[in-house]
Amino acid sequence: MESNVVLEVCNPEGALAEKGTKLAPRLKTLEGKRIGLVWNGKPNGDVLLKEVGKLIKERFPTAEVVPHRVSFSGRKLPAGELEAVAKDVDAGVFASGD
Amino acid sequence: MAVHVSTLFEKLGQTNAKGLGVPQMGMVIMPHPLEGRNFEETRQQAEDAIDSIISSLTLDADELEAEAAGAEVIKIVGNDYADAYEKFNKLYLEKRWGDGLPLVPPTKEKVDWMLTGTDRDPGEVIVETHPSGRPATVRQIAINAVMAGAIPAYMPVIIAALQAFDKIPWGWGGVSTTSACAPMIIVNGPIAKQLDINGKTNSLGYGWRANGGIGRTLEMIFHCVGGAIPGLSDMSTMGNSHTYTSMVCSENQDVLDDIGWPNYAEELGYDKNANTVHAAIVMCGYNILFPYGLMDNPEALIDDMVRSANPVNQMGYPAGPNKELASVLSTWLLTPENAKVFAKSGWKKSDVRNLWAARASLKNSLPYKEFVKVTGLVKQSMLSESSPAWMKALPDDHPMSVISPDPRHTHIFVTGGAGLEGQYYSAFMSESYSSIVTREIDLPSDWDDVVEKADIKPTPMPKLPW
Repeated sequence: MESNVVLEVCNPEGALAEKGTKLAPRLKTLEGKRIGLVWNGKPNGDVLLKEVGKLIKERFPTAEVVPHRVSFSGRKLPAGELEAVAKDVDAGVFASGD
Repeated sequence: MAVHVSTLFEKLGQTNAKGLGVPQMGMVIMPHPLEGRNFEETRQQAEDAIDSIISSLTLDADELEAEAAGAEVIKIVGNDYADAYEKFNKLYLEKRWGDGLPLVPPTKEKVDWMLTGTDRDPGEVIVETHPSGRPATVRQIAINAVMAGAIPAYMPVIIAALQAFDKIPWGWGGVSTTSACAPMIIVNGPIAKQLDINGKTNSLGYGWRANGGIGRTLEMIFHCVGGAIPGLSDMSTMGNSHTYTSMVCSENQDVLDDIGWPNYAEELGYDKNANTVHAAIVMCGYNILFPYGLMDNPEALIDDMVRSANPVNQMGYPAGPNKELASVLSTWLLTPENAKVFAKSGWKKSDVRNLWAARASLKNSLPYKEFVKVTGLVKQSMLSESSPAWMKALPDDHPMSVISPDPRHTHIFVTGGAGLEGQYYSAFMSESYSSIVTREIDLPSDWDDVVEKADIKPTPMPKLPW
């Protein structure tokens, strides 16, 4: 006679907590807007963002592109760093390459 | 906001976005790598991505459904226990809930048993893990501790280690990074002997349930709760075998007592009998072989340490301006015999630290012009448009060292058994990223009962001089 063994084991992951974070509202257009080009110090990120800035200006001549530098990547930004960028621009492009 | 990541880091980016509560965050994926491409290639990448970047800034993202939580309890049916056990291990590995070695099934009974090691509420959140953003509750810790083969008496150390690790500025980054990092957890206090946390021969190696059980639990939490999965969100290029069980040991208190040196916690102002954990993220270590001829010559031993530990690192410390671009955090694990060489000549731990820092920083310095050739990252970081003026004004011959001359960036522990083979560990990047964090271990009110029930016997070892 077969006798099955049932193991009831706990899920080791746990549940994701509700963060209540909302995505920032999108722009209708980049014309006339200040667009931050935010570099985290990773190699070539500044070169890439400079080129992105040129391309944005080609397509949206009245847009202003503003370089910003934040702390080196891989960790939470120090308090106030992101807020300082957000105060200065209407939208940002962050390069987080490797 | 539009965030650009390279192809190989897409999953990590998505995991981070979910963990931050914005799974629909606009992410622009570019072919890996970004670093190392020439200007034309980088310019082409910008052209290829510009449409996606503009879309991310201007189009409304679709609302994604909230991530459905997995079942809390999973039923596994087998023909017999062996069959069920094998199916459990196969399933958990498929779900990436393991480290490749067999797991102990976390049944409700075993988890309740593990929770007897703490009097904290099972629902208490100890830390928020990364990259997943999931909370590590006491209960989740207990589940992972069961899987790792720990016992209830280890729970206070595991919890304290996790709390300390969480405060390392780049600790969670060390779990996902491309670098071969591993956590180092060193214990001081009477708890080390109570739990038989090895601090003598093979202290960082195998053979002790406490060392392995505490460390493996931490790694399980990183994988299962934190979501660090090799190739998806743990991007370590080659990995590090220390990430099976972290690196857990105690200091050799018997030797420290013998030579009159304070333990690490005492140096920080704790009582000698305080139970503490010290957590760090370190790169692969160097095994240093010191010649026996230096036994009576502490200065020569320092010079040998300086010669031996000569890592090439990405960052540098410009001598003089006292500005931390990034300096290598130096962690020395001295053997009892290393420590005795210094102590015999009347040297204190602080004497070792001061002379090491001064000589190592000089010996390992290069003129700035040479340094930036060797470490391209430094050149880019230091010479870009947005770098501070003082950085760009450093003269070509300015000495740049990979090792900080500030003795506060050098940490010394005494551990291990017979022999002269100390170990040197550099931590990735600077003190502000990779500091050693100390936490006192909170014990439950019925700690004596917990220890008694654990019935821990010291692992049999030959009689040693200490």
